[in-house]
Amino acid sequence: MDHANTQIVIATAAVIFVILYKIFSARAGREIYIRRIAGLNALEEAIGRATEMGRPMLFHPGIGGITDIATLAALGVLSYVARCGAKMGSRLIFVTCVPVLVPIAEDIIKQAYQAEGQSELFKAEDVRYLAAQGDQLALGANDLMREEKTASHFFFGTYDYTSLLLTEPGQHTGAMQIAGCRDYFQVPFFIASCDYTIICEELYAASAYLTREPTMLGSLIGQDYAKIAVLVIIILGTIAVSLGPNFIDYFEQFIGGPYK
Amino acid sequence: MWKKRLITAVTFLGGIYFFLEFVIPATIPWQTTSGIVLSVPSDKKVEVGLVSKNASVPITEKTVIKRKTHTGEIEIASPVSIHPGDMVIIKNLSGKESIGIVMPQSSQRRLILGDVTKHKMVEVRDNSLVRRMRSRGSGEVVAATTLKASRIGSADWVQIGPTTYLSAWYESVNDFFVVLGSLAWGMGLLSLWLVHSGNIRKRRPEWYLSVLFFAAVIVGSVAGAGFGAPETSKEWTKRLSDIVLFDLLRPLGSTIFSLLTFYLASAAYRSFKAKSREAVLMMASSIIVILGQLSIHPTLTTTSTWILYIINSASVRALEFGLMLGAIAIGLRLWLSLERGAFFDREV
Repeated sequence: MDHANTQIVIATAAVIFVILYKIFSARAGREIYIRRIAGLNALEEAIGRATEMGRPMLFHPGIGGITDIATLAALGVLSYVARCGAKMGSRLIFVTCVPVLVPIAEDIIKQAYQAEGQSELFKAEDVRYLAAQGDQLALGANDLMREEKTASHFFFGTYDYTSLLLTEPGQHTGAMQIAGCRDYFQVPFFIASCDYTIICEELYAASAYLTREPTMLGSLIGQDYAKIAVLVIIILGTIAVSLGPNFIDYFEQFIGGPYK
Repeated sequence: MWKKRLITAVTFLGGIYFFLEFVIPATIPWQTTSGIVLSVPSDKKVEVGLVSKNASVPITEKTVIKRKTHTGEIEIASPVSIHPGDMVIIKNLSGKESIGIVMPQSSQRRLILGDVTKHKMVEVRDNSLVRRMRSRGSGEVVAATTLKASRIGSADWVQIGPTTYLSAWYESVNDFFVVLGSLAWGMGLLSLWLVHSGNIRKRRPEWYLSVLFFAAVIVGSVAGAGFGAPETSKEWTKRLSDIVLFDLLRPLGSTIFSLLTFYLASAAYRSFKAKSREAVLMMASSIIVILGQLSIHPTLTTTSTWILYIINSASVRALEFGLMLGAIAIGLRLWLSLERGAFFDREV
């Protein structure tokens, strides 16, 4: 296991401090603006479409485990979709290839339906563990899309080559598809086959954007400040490289050693 | 409520352990000796040479690096094969030679060289941690009780000091989470049972496929008994396992994978429609990159390389920075249970 050097400890502490400071200042009631994310705005449209057509929706949280940050972000989106679906009286089918997600998703969806007084719409059978592998799950999900005539598909989380195996057949069924993926190699496939795509980091901002909770909005702003700090370091590095080897040495010492 | 509090407490404790394990060094810094191994008189003692920096030498692919081997011979070494503790002679382009021991601060672009200035006999106690430094990372942990058996020897760069115990618990903490995760497999099976038994009971369309599913589960379980048996085994379970894994699952996996080709073609066709300005830009850059791979014209190849390695790399790195910071922020919210409102109810 690798350990942090002094500079990394300072940088980590600084990032944590900025994020926590912004969270607590947002909780204190400070107004926060975040830009519009089209894909997230379209979630309600997709849920409404499924309700109007009287068909179920399909949610897939990627192939990552529960320790994967993207999966956790996807579960945040799942909670929102389930709650909106329950509000509109729409059925949601959840499919996964990660068994540990079954009880968690079941709990999230059940609570969302209960919160909206639609407990009777929730069925434990709608949270399905289809297969142990992504490609086998894709086949099962394709069958489900065809069989249940799903109207809206949501793909959020970590994906590998199976992204296209899931979304292309979905596209052929005519369903409205929204995807959010942190793996940039898969993003072009989603862009090609989905109606809306949430690109990489936007996935992490999704639950903040959807719930508009001050805690989460504050952390987004904190994250942006950290980004500005990284940008400043990149500019300093560029200047150091342009000035010559001695400056590179100084810069390397400043950031905690050369890149290995 | 108590369940949620328990989850919050386990999340917090797990988070704080991994955070501290990352920021706190594996050994107590002020009691740690770092240097090159000169001799190992016994399993409990190591003679360490403390090294002082004498030169910082930039290296390129053309730099000639000579390394002194254990037997005293000189060999030519590539920058990637250099480890901390290696004795090297570097001749730069102007012909000047630098000699010294490679220090752990070195990179593939610059070697930091030093000389042994002091000798120190370090006692390895029960609570000591001995790490052999490699060209990357925090070093490989060497079992303190079997120094000789671990073949630690001269030219190895080591760090020896009293452990902070955090790293020692790493595997145990990880095992705890693996056990928790394994329990969830039962939930997966239960979910499959619910769906397929329901299909059979209610005679839903294609219910016979659910019967097939249960048959497959039984066959798979029996075949599992033969998994891992020696190749020469004549057991029927081994034969069954081979049939299920290699004659059924593998070709089926390849078939699914081959479907991707057709999906790629249809997705590419759709994305090559110039619907908007962005789509035109994407299409144009894709055409340049594709044609650039065919070596039709040097300009095309250069432009293609420029798009791939300058524009594309810059945007990918920007995305990576954003992803990392986003992961820190979301991790922090989960660790401190600030995000629970997104998943369940707001109260903890």
